[in-house]
Amino acid sequence: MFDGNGAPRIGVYVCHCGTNIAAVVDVYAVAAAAAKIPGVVVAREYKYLCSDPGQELIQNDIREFKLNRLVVASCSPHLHEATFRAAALAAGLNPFLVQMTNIREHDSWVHADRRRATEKAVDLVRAAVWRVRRHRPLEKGRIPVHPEVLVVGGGIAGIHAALSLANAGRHVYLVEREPIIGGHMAQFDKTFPTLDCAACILTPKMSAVKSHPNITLWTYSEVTGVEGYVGNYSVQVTRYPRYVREELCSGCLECIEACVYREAKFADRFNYGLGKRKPIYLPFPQAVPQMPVVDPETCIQFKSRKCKKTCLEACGERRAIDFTQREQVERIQVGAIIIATGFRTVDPRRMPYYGYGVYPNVYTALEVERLVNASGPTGGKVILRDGRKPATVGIVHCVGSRDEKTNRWCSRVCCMYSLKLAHLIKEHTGAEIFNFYIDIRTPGKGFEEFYQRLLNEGVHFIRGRVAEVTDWALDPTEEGRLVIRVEDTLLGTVRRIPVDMVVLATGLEPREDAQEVRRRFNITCSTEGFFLERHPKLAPVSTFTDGIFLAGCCQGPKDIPDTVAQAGAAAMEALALIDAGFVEQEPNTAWVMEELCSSCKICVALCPYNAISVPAETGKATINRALCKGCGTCVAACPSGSIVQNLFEDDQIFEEIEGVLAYA
Amino acid sequence: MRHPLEVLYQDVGLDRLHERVVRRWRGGRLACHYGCQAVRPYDEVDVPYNPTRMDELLEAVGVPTVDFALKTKCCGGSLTGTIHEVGLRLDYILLKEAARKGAEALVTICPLCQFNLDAYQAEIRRSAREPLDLPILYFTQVLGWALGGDFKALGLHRTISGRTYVKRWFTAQAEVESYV
Repeated sequence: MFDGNGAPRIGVYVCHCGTNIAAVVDVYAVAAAAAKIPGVVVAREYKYLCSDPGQELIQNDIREFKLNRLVVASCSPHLHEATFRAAALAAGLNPFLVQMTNIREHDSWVHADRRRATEKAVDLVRAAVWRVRRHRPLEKGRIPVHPEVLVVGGGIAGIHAALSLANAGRHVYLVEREPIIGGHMAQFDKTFPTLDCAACILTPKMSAVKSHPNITLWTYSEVTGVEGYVGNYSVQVTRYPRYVREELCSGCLECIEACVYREAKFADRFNYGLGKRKPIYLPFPQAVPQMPVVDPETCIQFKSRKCKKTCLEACGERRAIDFTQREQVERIQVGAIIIATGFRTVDPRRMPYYGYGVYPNVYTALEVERLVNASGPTGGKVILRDGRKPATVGIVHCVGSRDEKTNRWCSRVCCMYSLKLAHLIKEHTGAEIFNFYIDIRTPGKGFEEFYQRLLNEGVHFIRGRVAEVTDWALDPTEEGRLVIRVEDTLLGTVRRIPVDMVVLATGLEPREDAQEVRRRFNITCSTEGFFLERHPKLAPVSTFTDGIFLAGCCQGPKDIPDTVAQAGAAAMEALALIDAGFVEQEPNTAWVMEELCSSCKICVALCPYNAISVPAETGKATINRALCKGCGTCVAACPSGSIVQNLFEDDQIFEEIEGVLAYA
Repeated sequence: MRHPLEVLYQDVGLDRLHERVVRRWRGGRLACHYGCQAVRPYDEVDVPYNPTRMDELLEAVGVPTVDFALKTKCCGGSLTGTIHEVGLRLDYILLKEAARKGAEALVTICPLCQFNLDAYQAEIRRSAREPLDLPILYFTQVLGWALGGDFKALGLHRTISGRTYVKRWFTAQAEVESYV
């Protein structure tokens, strides 16, 4: 392989790109002009250089003319730099002795004047030739990868990703903030459009997580610190005390029975306050882990230290209940991280005109989800807060979705879950049901058929965004009921529909601490606050931080099948990373000429990737090559000019500038 | 240009008003009507969807208010002069709902609301065939009364509807009871 020494022998290749370039730029003239530049041994044009014959042409020239540098004048390096570097490597040339110059996006596509476009192409080629003369051969680095994976969030996305990796034989840490796993899906009654019982399809996966030898499940825990880089993350997990020792508890739940509170009397968060629980409780019957939690806010022992502690008596010899339990911090090493932190639903109090929190019979969809559920607070009976069975129900779509005043995006799942709830409420109560929609969006397998089924069941659909939910009555039929005022845009008139119960189909939005999580994992958010994927089409589960992947609604609203698909994809990407055993590193990183460094530490604070440190023993800045992304910020900022970036060295850049300006 | 509601609420404040109350209110609950343009399109005067500042001011001087769902709805505006029956219909809705909620008078922060609701009440009574007779007051009239203002100086003698009520609660009773 050429070692970078000796006189440059440069080959210049000008691509026609069919007619993309050749129609505007005189490629023959460019090649002829390039041939005259000192150091150029051979200059050719070709119809498609990226094609196999095009690459072979270059490789043959490397061997025949003993070329030691290449310039390819074609499209953007984003598209084909890897192609030509690989072709050079296959012919025995160091790939970093190849320079591309873009005469398509930067020239033929943006100019019409053939003569001047050709002149510009010649200038660009000359600049590239002058630059490549200064190139040095570089080697890619290899960083070993830690074989374990962290999954953050124990909803269906996190569960599926963790199980996929664990089944592939990899060890996974699954960290969940709540005392139980299952996320929002555990709260659903049925799933659309098949009306499968959500718990029936979720709980087997939850149990599998608990019993899988390759999964370490930490519930009631949070990731509180992340350091390191792709393949080598060191993560700090804080485990909150549940005051029940996981290793000792057998899940008999006798302590709950024995609690000094005979009746459950505290608002139950899992059921959105519709049900009641005791200070020691299991959030729902099929909870995983099957282990009670003590709420120190309501437990008498925590409030007064004077409880009879009947729960301890019930626990007996097992001694699983431990009021002295404290927060614990665990530190783990992982190679990849999958973030599946999910979503929250829009708080309908933000839209006071829908009466949530004002009129007791206005519910959110998730609350109704608990009402229809057999293990919910009413045992599956759809009844109002005063115990009445509703005779008419209005379901308001797009609450906090597609709305300039709150969130502009479509939350994707609300139309379908509204249809599902309409079906379930009708099934449970026989009530007359009105859906108020802007558009019915049912793009999915079996979704449109489900909509047709609902139409046939006699559910009413009124097209129009609801103006308000109110209790002002105009006539006796409205007295004591909720009135939905809406413009029926198909009839072209304002209607007043009196109902007994209003269900607000609240949209999905990023969690309240999404920004905090984003900073902790050093990933990015889109404007609305969902975590940003690396590419919307071609890298939908990767982030801009290598080794961190996304799954589920933290990346954007999606339904269960899409979430599971994405979780599988994220698991696959993580597996590909850790199974390779190492990651290759581009050599365009920065390094410090220590004898010039003045230890001013300006670069340390500027580095967006925390790659620079100043060890006490040397007092000189050092750059961790594994963390450096080659952004060049430190290079530009260094007052003593002691930082050099490979492939962007000063003399390379100045030569390139001189080259482009050296027109005849 | 600032609305008196904004000045009284922000610059004077609830506490200072409360301190200066000299008359105790013995009447029932009143409904606060905010109307349209005081709170829309700008929200400096109050929250557009659910304004509460007039209610807070009245409560501060000891006058209880009802929860009035229609407090930001149209009073008929200039429609009473152009498409008369539409304007009257809008007035009717407000008056009826206020009465239904048990309000004994409607208090406004807009002279046009006051005029529309007050002056056309007799006509609405006839066309709707309902015994509506609700006093319509400007909010400073109620505040001024509580602070010891004179019946005539407050313009209370110029109200049109519900005169019996106004005379009963805003004059005689004031003489009987002194708050301080």
